[in-house]
Formats: sequence, C-alpha cells, structure tokens
Amino acid sequence: METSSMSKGVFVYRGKRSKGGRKSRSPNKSSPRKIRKTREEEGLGYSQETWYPAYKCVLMSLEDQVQNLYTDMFAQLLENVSVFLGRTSSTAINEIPTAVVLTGINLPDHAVIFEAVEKKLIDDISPHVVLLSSRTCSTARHLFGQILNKCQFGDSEMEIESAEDSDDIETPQLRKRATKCTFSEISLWYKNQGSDKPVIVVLTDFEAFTPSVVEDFIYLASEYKSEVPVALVFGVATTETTVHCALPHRIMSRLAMETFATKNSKDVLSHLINEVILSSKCLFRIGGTVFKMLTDIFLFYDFSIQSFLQKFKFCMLNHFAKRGVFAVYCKDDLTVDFMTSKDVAKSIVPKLKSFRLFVEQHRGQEKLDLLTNDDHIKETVIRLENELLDHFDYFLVGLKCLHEMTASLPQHPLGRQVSDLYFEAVSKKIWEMPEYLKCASLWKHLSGTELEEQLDRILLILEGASNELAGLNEWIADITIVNAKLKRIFTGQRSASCSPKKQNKAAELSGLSRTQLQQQLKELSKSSPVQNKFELVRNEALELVDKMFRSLLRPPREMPLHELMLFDDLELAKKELMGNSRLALNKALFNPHHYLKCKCCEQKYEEGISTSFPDVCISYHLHLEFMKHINLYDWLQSFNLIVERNAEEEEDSPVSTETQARFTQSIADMQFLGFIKPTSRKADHVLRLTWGNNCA
Amino acid sequence: MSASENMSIDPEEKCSEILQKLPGRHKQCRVLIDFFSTPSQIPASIFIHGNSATGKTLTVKTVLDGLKIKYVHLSCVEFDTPGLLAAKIASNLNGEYLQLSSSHNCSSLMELVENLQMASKIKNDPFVIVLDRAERLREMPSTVIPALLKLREISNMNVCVILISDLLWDRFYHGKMRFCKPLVNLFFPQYTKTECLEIIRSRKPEGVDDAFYCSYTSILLRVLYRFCRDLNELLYMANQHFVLVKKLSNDQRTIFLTLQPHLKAATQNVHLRQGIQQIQNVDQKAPNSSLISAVTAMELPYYAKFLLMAAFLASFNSPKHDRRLFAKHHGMQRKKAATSRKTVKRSSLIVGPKPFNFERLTAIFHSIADTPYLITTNLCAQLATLVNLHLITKVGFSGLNNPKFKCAVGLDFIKAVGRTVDFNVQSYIMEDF
Repeated sequence: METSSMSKGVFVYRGKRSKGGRKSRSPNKSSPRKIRKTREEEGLGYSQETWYPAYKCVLMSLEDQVQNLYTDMFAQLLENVSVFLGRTSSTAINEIPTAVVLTGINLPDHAVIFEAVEKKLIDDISPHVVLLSSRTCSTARHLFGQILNKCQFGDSEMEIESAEDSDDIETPQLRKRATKCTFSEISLWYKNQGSDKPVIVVLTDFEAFTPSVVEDFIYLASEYKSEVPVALVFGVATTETTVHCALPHRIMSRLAMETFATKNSKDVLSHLINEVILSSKCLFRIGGTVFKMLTDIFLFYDFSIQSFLQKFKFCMLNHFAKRGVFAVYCKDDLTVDFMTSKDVAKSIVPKLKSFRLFVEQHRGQEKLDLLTNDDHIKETVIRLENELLDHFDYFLVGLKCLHEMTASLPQHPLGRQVSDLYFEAVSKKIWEMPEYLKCASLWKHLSGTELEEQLDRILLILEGASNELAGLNEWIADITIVNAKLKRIFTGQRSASCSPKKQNKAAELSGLSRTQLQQQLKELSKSSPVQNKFELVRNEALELVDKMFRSLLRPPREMPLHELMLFDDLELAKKELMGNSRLALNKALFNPHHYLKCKCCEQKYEEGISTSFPDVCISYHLHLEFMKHINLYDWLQSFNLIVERNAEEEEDSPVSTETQARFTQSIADMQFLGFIKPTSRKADHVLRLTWGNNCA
Repeated sequence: MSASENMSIDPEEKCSEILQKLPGRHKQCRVLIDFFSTPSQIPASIFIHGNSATGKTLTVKTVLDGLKIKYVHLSCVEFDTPGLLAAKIASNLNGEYLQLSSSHNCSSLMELVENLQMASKIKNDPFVIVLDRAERLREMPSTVIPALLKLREISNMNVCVILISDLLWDRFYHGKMRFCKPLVNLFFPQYTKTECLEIIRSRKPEGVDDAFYCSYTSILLRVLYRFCRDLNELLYMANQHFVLVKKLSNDQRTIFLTLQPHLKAATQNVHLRQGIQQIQNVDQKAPNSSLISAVTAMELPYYAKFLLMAAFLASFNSPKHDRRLFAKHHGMQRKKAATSRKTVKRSSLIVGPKPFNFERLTAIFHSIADTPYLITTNLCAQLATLVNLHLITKVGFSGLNNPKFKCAVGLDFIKAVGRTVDFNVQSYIMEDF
C-alpha cells in the first residue's frame, strides 16, 4: 500500500513553479486543461491522506525560506549584470555587450539562476528576454526561430505547447510557424513592434552549444546591429576560457565581454544549512546520519543545491508517509490533541521503541498507567512531544554556541561547520566523544582575550534566541557574571604588572644553604602549582560552558518519541537516493519478486529457482553455477528441466521449439546486459564475464 | 543612366570624395572606381580577399554608394541556401527594376536568372550583387559558384557579382569549376601602422582635444602594434583605455606612465576582450598561475576530480600498463625477450588521447579514488556532466551498449586538479604507448 502510493507521489507531482515575470498569460486558453490536470494530480496523489496537509504546510514553509535565501544570494549578481547590460546597451558602441555569467558546474541549479536573471532583466531593461538552451538550437536558423517565437508570443504559449500531449491538433502548426527563420525576419519583427529596447539573448548552457551556431548568430547580430540592438548573456559552467576557445578571433572582436561569478556553491550550501535547515524556522528535523549522507552526496558528487533540496524533500515526504498523522513538526499543531485517547494509545505504545523504553524506566502504578490508562497515555504523549519540540530549539542554540567555541581551534577536532557538529550531536552525547574531550583540553590553553571574545559571542547568540526560549536566561546570567569577572581580572592585571608573591619566594630561596634549597625545591615540586586568578576564572568559565553544553546538547535522539520528529532511516534513504544500477540489476535477476511483487514468486524464493521466474532470471540463476566457459547445450538442458518441471514427460524427449526460442531470447538478454559474451575459441560455448555474488 | 550622367559631370570630384572616406585604401578604391565609372566596362565578377578588418566590405559599399550604382549586399551566412540567396536577390531586383507584385516569389537560381532576363529587357542599368563571407558558398551545391560567376553570360544582363572572403581563390576551386574564374582578383592588404593611426584618430570621441588624442593613440600603438595588427582590436583597446587617461593633461610622459601597467597586461590579453578591471587582477599574479586559478575557480566535486583524472590516465596510458599501475598485487614485471622488436619510444602525451571504454574508466576510478561505493547513478550523472562541459568527450556513435570516451584536458590542468586532492597524476603516466 505504502509503496504503491509512493511511486505515484514520485512521478505525479511536478513541484511548485514560481512564475514571477509573466502574469499576462491568456487565461481562457490555458485554464480548462490545467484545471483538469491539477484535479487528476490531486486524485492520484497523497492529498487524500490525513497527514497530507501537515506535509504540505512544512513543504511550503521550506520552499518560502529557500526562495528568500535565493533572492538574497542572487541580488548582487543580478544587479551587476543588469547594470552592465543597461549601461552598454544605452551607449552606442561597436561591439555587442556580452555578460558572461560563471555559474559553477552544478547543472541542475542553473535553471533557478537563469529564471532569476530573466525576471530581473525583464523588470529592468527590456521586455524582450529570450532564454535559450542548446537542445532547441541545433542550427543557427533554429536559434533565430526560437528567438522570434519567444519574442512574438512570449513564454507562456511555448510552455503550454510543450506541456500538451502529442495528440493535440494545434501544436504542430504552432511549432512549424517558428522553428526556422532568418535574421531578417527578426529585424522585420523588431521594426514593426516599435520599441527601441534591446533584445537580450541568454544562452543558458554555453558549453553545449555548437560553436558554429553561436558564431553565425553573433556575426549576424553584429551585422544587423543598427536595426536590432542585441545584448548577450552566456551561462558558462566552467571558466571564461571556454568562450575564448569556442569562438574564433573574428567573432570575438565583435563582443565586449564582462565576467560575473556566482557564489561558490559550497558557501551556498553552508549558508542554506545554517539559515534554513538548522534553524528553528525549519519544521522538519532530519537525523544525523541521513543528513550527513545528503551533504556527502553534495560534496562528493554533484555540488548541486537543487538536488540536495530534492533529496531533503524526499526524506521529508518519507517521514510523513511513514509516521502519518503522528509526525510531530510544530508546537501549535499537535495532531494528537484532536485524537481520541484510544487511538493514540493503540498506535503509539506498541509501535515506538523509544516510548517503550520510557515506560520501562517507570515503576509501580505509574508504569501500569502508562501501559493501560489511555487518557494518561495521551496526556504523557502530549507532554513529551512538547518537551521534545522545546528541547530541539534549545539544542540548535547549544549547537551554535559549541560551534563558536570549536570552529577556531587548531586542526578542527569537531569539524568546521555547524552541520559537522549536528551529525554527531543529534544522536550521541557529544561530551563523551574523544573529539570533544580534545577540544576541552584545547580550551584550557585559550588566552584571556580569546576566551573573552568567545564568551561575548556566545552571549550574543544566547541573547538573540532568548526572546523565544525563556530557559536560556539563567545561562545568560551565569555567563555574564563569569565574563565580568574575567574582564575585571584583566583591568586589574594591567595595573599591577607582576605578582609580589613570586618575588618573595625568590627572596626566601636565595638565603638558604644548598641542602636546604634542595629540600625546599622538592617540597615545591610536590605541591601543585598555585593557580593564578586568571586560571581560576578560566576554569570556572569553562566548567560553566561545559555544563551548559551538557544541558543544551542532550541528544534529541535519546529522548522518548524522537521517532515522530526525527527522520533517521539511513537504509531507506541510501537505497532510494544512492542508486546503484548494477546492484539493482543483480537483485532483480536474482530475486525478481523484490521488484515485481508478484504472488507466484513469493514463497518459492527460498527454494532457489522457481518455474514462475521470468526466463532471463532462470538463465541468470543457472549461469551462476557454471565455470568460465559455459556450454550452451548444457545450459539449454538445465533450462528445459526447470521450465518443463511441472509437465510430466519422459526424460529424453527433445526440447520443444518454444523452449528453445525462450532460451535464445534470455541468452540474448544476458549478453546485452553484459553477463556473457560469445567466444571464438569454442563455437558452442560462451564466456562468463561476472564473478562473485554480492547481491544476496 | 543617372549614375553615368553624374560621373560625366564631375568624375574627379566624386572620386576624391570617395577616397576621403576610405583612408589607407586608395589603391583598391581606384581600381573599383575605374571599373564602375563606365557601365560598359564593369566586369562580370570580382573576387575580393584579405584578412578581417581590412575594409573590404566598407570599400565596396562606399564606392557603389558614391557612384550611385544599384546593388544588393547580402551575407552568405544568413542566406545559406541557393533558394534563400536567389529569393533575396530577386526581391531586391523586383524593387529596383520590375515592380512585380510581391506574390511573385523566386525560390531557385533558375528563377533568378529568368527574373534577370526580364529585367534586362526593361532597362539595362548595371546591377551589382555583393556576397559577403563568400567562403560559405562552398557549402552549397557545387554548381552555385560557377552559376554566380557566369550570371551575366546566362542572364544577358549587365550584372556584376562581387565575392568577398577571407580566403584565397585557390580555396574555392574544385574539379567542376574548370574554366570558371572570377575576372578580377583584388587583394586587400593589412593596414600599415600609419594608416591604423589615421583611422583610429578619425574615430575620435567627441569633445576631445585633437593633439591630446594624437599623442594618446601614438603611445598606444607604439606598444600594441607589435602584438596585434588587427584594426578592430586596436580600436577596441583605444576605446577601453581612453577612460584611464581622459582627465590627464597633454603630456606624453604622464600619459605613458598611467597607461604603462595596463598596456603591459593588455599585451597578454589582446583578443580576449576582457574589461580593464580584470586585466589589473591578472596582472598581479604570475602568468602561469592563471591556469591554476582557473582550476580552483571551477570547483569540481571530489569524485568528479577523480573521474577526470581517471579519464586522463585511461586516455594517455596503454591498457597493457593498467595491471601494473593500478592492481594491488601486480607482481614482478616479466622481462621481455631479447629478440623482441624494439619499439620506437614516443611520449603518449605528444601522441594525444586515445579512446577508452566505460568499464576501464570505472576500474581506474575505483583504484585511485578508493570509494566505499560501487559505481552509482550519481557518478554516472557526474560523468554525463563532465561530457556536457567538454572536459571529457564522447567518441563515435557506439551507442548505449559500450560508449567510448576521450579526455579533453591537458597535463597542466590535470596536474592542478590532482594537487587540490593530493594526488600525483604524473607518477601514473607511463611514457611509452
């Protein structure tokens, strides 16, 4: 049940598209079909599930925050590009103004960037902004066609067109009208439309464009410059040199380029994590291991914020699908409130391991109540959920403070980012980890000013969060006292430069004989070195901070009911998000029931090969038993044996032609999948290519 | 007729007027004027060649405009089929001579010839067809160039075809064009330094003191002319750098001192069309560091770097070395028999990348990157990204079954990539292939 609706959810939802600039789409043309589609989507999707509104709410809040983040991030870049194009297109120069935007190699994110660029340019400079991708521009005339098309009809119709099903009658005509044209047609259109705003052409993936197409386009654009003012934006994923390599000199000399770089995508991710995902505003909490996996995929594989977010949303959907209505995400909206005590007791007590552990901690009547009294269970659950949510906010604040203390340490024992801390702290007691102990020993070597600065910064963080979290106030008070002490010492120390005590001691020692001196020194070495004032205060401060961390950073994963709030199913996430094609192939061939979910193969899996398996699976199973060279005749015989197992026939009957055909087909499939290959050494043999059995 | 009348009135004055507009191109101009001043002497075809930015199109257009001869100018880049070419010429011709209704369209050279024949019956004014970027004509059917060259012969009209190109006529020649050659072959040489100066000065921005601009341009050209003789580029440089000296007084020394650092950087960046601000940035670093900074600017993900290095090793090492280089326990290398033929040692880096298949790439990748996972879909997507960015190229049409690739980046680049992940690529490159 769960899986079937899962697959629908993955394929049917298209995600929200933010459309900013184009509000003038013709409503009567697009609406009926759109409405029908959305209805279908809703019917097929999750929207009838009881937990769906909660999920939707969390998703919306996440998307809003991400959108805000993007807007902040791109603001500077967009401003620069827009200023450059505005300046150059207003003054008459011989060259075509060209903004080269270095976008980084994270290909899925480019769409977001260019959507923002398009919107900005439409608002600031000219209504004629054309986004082009290399897929639609195989020749120069296709490119012109695209430009004319988008300038004339705008984006909206193109989109509808591409969204339509292929059986639409109007579509071919619409497309035909504008697939190919010459530049003079563009110039004709420009003359007729009247305004003198430049046409801005944005090539989103410059690398993938055929250089000769771009060459021709630039050549003609500069030839027609007096009639049609053109400005270009190149989206370059690698470096500026790509443009220099792709275009010959006689074309380059027609451009006036300027380069603009987007932010480093690693910075963007850490920004995203700090501002959105690890903030109290984010209503979905992800477990440490899964979160680490997501960031690892980002750092090691793709550098793509978009796909990171997709995976994050996938985890979110999974969490809500698994926990259903009981998923805890927001204090104002505890679903348990609205449920009958019986339902709560029935669904929470037996299912959640953490709750059972919680019950075990109690004795006597309380334990009995927790097991049998439904009303009491409901009350406890509500209390625990509230505690959990509260604690998580404190936890995040504590994490930020700890990050403040550890980020500047040499060798970074606990990592450089807040997320590094989060991976560990969410499920373990971080103060028991050796890395934390190492940090604690390093703190003892902090100088006075460093400690003071760090305490100041911690205070800032705590005070920032204390409006909403009242529990922080006592920590603030304590730290302020220690900090004040520290400051007092420093001002005191500066006035009295050297301690008189030490001098006295030296004077005492100087008057003694050799043996007495020896005696004295021995005693001195035995007694612990006397701590000066600063060290005392430092130790006090560090103890206080340590105590604060122990209280704030209590791992949420060890609290009861944490399953309802944290998503920490690493196995599932790994299976779904780190696709491994070969493993999947082996698994499918070895145990087809895993994917087919058919009844026939279900029970027979333990027995080995079943007659009901697909042919290629039977062949695969048989080939595992052979050595390097496989005799095709033997293979066929054993294939026949299995296929005809049920048919009671005499033993030496010839293999039926139908079986032969099925066998040949399965062998061909095996060869296509790369398990066997024909060999010239023996005509009736094939070579086995894969070894080992890592799928079982 | 009107053109010839004008010429008869005052040919010399007209001529000098045209010449004035075209500094440095007097010789070529004279030749053209001589041809076109008397309609009966116009040759059937003229071929003009010379480097870019030598004033070919400008000269032709100015002369034809000055002599008031009817012409159509079109670029073979835009009108890249005979049909389009003919349609454009015919529509222009109709406007000038025939005044036919617009519905009469022309879609092939044959119909163009018919149109020309009709036009010749009405009036026999000279008509000139100027084809820019004529080298594109070679991509059309092989009959197009001969047909254009013999257009007067076929159509019986006083028509002249001017082909303008960067290439020599030899490059246009092929077997079917025997006895077919443009009548006049005109070469436009590069502008000399003084001519460049004259042209740049003629494009002086408004409101600038003459003498000041004069000294500015001579300083600029003294430095840059050694590196770049392209007029367009010099004009661009003059425009770009003028902002820097705009407010200075007319003193050669101060101008030179202000310009010096920028010009020094500019000598390394001519033709790249970067703004001045960026030139300053590059100037502070050593020239070799630009590549390394490019690598760091590109910021590939961790495994993508290893994938790229694996691709590099796969395309520059022979598969026979793989076992020795990448297997954990490769054992001793067997000694070759003394009788074996000596192979000529060539550095694989000079020979260039060889194609390799996907399996080999993944095998090398796993041995150098030491990943816990097998090849995942994420990694395959990453490979596709690298192919998309032209860091690795796909070879041939081997299809889905067994795709082959080649590494498209150089040794220096890959060394810089390796340095970012502490991997010494060079130690894995076997010298002979």
